[in-house]
Amino acid sequence: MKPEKTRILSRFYLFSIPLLCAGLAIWLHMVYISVFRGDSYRKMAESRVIKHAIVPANRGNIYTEGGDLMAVTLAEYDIRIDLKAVPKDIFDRNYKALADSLATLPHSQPAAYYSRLLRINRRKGNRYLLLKRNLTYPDYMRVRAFPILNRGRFKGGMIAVCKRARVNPMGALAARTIGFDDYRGHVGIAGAYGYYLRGRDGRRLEQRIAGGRWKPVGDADKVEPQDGADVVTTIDLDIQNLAHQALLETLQQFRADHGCVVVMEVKTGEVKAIVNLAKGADGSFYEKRNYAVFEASEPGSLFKLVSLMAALEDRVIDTTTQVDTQGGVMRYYDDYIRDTRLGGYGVISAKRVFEVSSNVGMAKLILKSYKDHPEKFVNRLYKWHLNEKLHLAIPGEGKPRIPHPDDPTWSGIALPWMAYGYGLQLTPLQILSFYNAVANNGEMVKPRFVEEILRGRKVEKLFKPEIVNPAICSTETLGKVQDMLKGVFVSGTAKHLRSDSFTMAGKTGTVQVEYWQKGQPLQYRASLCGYFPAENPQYSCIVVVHKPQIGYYGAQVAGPVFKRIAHYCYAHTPKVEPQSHRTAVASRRITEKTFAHLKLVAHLDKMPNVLGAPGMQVVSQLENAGLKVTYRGAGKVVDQHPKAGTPISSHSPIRLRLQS
Amino acid sequence: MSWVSVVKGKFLVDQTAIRNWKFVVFLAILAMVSITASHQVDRRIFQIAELSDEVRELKAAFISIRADLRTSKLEIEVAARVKKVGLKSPSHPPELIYMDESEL
Repeated sequence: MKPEKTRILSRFYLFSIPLLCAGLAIWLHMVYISVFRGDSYRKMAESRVIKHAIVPANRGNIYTEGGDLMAVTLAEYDIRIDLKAVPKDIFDRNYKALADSLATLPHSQPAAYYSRLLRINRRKGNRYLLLKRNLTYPDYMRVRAFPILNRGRFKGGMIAVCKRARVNPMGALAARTIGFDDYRGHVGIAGAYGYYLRGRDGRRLEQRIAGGRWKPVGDADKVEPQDGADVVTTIDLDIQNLAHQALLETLQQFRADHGCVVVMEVKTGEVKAIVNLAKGADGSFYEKRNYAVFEASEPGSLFKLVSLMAALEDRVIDTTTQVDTQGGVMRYYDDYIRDTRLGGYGVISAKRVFEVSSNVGMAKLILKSYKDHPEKFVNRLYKWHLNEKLHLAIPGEGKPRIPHPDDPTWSGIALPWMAYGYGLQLTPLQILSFYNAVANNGEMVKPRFVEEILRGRKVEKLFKPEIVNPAICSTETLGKVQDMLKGVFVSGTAKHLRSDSFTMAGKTGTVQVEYWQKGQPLQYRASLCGYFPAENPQYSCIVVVHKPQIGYYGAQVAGPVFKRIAHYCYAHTPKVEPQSHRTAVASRRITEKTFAHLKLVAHLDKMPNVLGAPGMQVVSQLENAGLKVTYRGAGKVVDQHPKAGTPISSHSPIRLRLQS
Repeated sequence: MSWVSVVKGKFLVDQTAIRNWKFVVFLAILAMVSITASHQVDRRIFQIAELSDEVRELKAAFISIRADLRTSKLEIEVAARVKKVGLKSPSHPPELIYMDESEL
């Protein structure tokens, strides 16, 4: 019995001890894992169901002065297709129609491309084929109605991926100045005011729930997102659009390389329009770089205002100082200074030199005054801070360069060259702000792009005009240069731009560019900088057209753009009589103008001559007189029946034919 | 009461069982309320997600329609459209006429 029990026990131990050891080993390993490696595993388990989520802040919008959206964050869609989800008969019947539809979307390939793409990927069994990227909402809605895709996710294989993108709703208008602030860098207003626009992202804990969604849990570790503020720019959309169209048409007409236009409000320095267009690889023009801000280049004749003002302010010349333009050519050291007109202008006054833009005259005037003390001239320019940046809010401003007689590169020709704007560099905005100071009666204000920063409806920051220099020169000098700038449009280089209804003042510039490069035809930069109206200026404006291939004179190429903008601003600014005259003038105007013709017409017994008169006015006047009028067309009256002078009564029919 | 007797479930059958049963039922109801609430939260989250997608779509629609509208309101666009009927952009500014109330 005993040996039997021992045998059983020994068998029992034989099995149980290894089992126990194995169990113990497993248990020890569990302890080891949970104590020593537990942290990383616990974290791993948690991360599958719990995460620290970033709650993105909404980026602020950028508006025009009038409250139109220039930049906003929107939903954009990538469209993909799961080709295995589409039944064979539906695919075969419809894929060509789908390709045709896809080809109608903006920036699309031809239909043949899509039908090939669909066929090949159908064969490969692609379940995630990209059809179109970055679609706007209206286009996305269209795509949802396309053949095959209109069958939805499961039968049509449509996959739409929604993402957030920064969009400029007004398209190319001021695109480069509005700019962006992302992986590409900080550009334009968006880049400069990124701090306000960005806002601050929030944080919270989230737990995974069914359907791949996440729900917020706990309040402990929570940071609310702070949305970005809105930036209101000084841009006036209508002037911007007009300037854009005008520059675009000019660049196309003269086959230029690039150009820019800036319109600035004289009193405040607010930039109302800023256009920068350059020719792309496909020959169309787009907002490539902010030339107005960064492109420092030789200003040419535009600089004559500065040189002449310096000389006038130093009282070394006067507007009447006579100078011999020497047949239009002057040799100085080894160089020739030439005028545009062969044969020159004879002996003329300094004012005339400016108006006709004589290089020889300008060089001689400045040489005569500063030949022995060039530093006096240059120091005057430095005093006007022309050698310094404007420190614009927008990043990337070009650095101006004005050589000094102490520079090792200074040469004998440097001074006469500077007189007419060569051998130095300024950006279009730097030139404009100087001209603007002349228009603003000597007060120099800094160009400004942003009016205010709004958080909700509350103004967070208001930008006021920044005065750089309260008086750049004496009132006397100012009067003289204003007169000369006016003269350019009356009898100078821009006289053909003159208008009978409104006045302009300014200076044209025709600069040779890349004249140092041999073996290519001479290239030019045409420009015009000035302000309008000449009396009581409201806006200043600069137009620069780089390398036009047909024609090159400033007045001819840049002039029409300047005039169109000046005309627009004139025609859109209501005329208001001075306060004291208001009542008197208004009542006179009403009695004399508004009612006079009505009284006249009320006693009609003979048909008046209405040829050439505005149709709508004539019709209403005749009808007021109790006559029955029929007319055809619109515009001015080109034919009338009965003829003028024919006796008429209240029931004689009158027929008019209008212009079109 | 030792833990053995708890495991054996004695508290459900002894004299004070009625009272304990009440508490157990209370706990069960509490658990059900909690589960329902958590499901409702989940449903709410789906709703929020759907609505915010909708908001995003509507905002996109709004912006693009507004941009189209603004573009067609630009003077150049209007001028091109009304050219047919002979209307042009004004070449002279409008005049503001002020009147005294007595004149009206």
